[in-house]
Amino acid sequence: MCTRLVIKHNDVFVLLLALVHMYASNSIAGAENMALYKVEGIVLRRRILGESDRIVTIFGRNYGKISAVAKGARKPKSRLGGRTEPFIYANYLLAEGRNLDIITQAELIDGLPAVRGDLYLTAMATYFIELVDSFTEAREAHDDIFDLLWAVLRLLEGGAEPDLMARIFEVRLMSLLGYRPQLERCARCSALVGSAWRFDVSIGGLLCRECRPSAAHQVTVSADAVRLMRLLLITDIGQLVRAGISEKLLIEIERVMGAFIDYRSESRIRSREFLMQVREERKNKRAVTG
Amino acid sequence: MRAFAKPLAKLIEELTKMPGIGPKTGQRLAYYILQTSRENASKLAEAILEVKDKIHTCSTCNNFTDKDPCGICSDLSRDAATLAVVAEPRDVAAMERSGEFKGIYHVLQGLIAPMEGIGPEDLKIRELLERINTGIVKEVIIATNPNVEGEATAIYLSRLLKPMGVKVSRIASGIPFGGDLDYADEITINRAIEGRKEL
Repeated sequence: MCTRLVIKHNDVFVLLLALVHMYASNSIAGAENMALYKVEGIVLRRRILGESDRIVTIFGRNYGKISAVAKGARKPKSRLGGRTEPFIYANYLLAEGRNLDIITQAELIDGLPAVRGDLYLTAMATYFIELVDSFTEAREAHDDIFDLLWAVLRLLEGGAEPDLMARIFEVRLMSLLGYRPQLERCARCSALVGSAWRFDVSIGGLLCRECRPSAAHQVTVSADAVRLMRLLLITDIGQLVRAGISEKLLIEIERVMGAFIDYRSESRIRSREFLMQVREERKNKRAVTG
Repeated sequence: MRAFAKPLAKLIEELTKMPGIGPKTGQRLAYYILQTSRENASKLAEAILEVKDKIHTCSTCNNFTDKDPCGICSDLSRDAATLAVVAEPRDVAAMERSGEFKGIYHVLQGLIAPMEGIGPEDLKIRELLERINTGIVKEVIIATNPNVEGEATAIYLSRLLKPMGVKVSRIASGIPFGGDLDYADEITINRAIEGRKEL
């Protein structure tokens, strides 16, 4: 009799506990629905939503890629319009929404005015953000990639050689994504690669003479270019900027990395075409004025 | 959509294909059409078909028009030496609303957008150069939006146009009329200061 009573008391206690727990978890979930959070990020792209709104994709530190609505961003008096343009670096305050989150405030950190005022630099910055956009998944934090992206964008703004920035960005981005190019030994048999260097984009590294029966997916590359690629991966960026690197080698690396990126990317990198076009015109102009 | 009779369901389906119209608005519009007089309904149907049959782009400026050349291009009272380059026909409408601009237009039918794969060759740029080559135009005002695509297009065009000996200018960008400095973003304020005017 006595023990039964104790059990009953216990039951009531457990029931009460469960009720308290349910109430607490509910109220927490309720608070989360309305939650505001801060994101320090770089705008990757935006598209029009309805009459005057935009859906902005921000690459955020600690957050990765976030899509959020900037309400009224297309109206002339909007506070958000200028702060939700591609490659704007800003602090955003977001409110969690039912489907998409909503940008409630934005505070500019850097707008890269020099990049925006130059066609080639704009094309280059667009290429960088397109690469980040196409290789990262939504809500997957990639602070290493964030730091790399911001470092090259800031250097572009500061007047560093854009093509060098591009090669550093490509080599390091692929390596941060887990596709670090194998540049020391044969990627298949680990033998030392003596001469006649070829980079296999499907394997992501150099192949020795024995390990390459077919030439499919392979790009020839000079020993100097391979040496430079190794340096691009590990040397301090500031040092590379000061080094004065040969344009010819950069073009060679561009071919290798371009093919490697195309092989790994699920979608076509569209901005590259325009980038090439602007560069051709830039070169012709230089040739004329020089 | 079993809730509606077949013809009504068909009308709702067509209406909801339009931008900004969801199923609920589609239903409302469909009921309105159903309840309005036959005359009103046939006016609407005619207007839709007329737009499709009669409106095309002007062979000179690429704006939407029902005659060729369009009303603006054939208006002799307008200043043919001043040409405004805009992205879309709706931008012509916006500029015309102001009544301030007395020149002529050229509609590019888009802007350079590298991430969308839209390059200069997809726009009406060759046609613009041909117009400048006739020698009538003395000033080109690039009136594209002050965003990444608009700016890139403006810089690209200015490079092509300047060597042709025409004056190339860009519409001002800054604090909107009736706006508030406190609410303006940093880039807008910088541009407003850069483009300031002596009084």
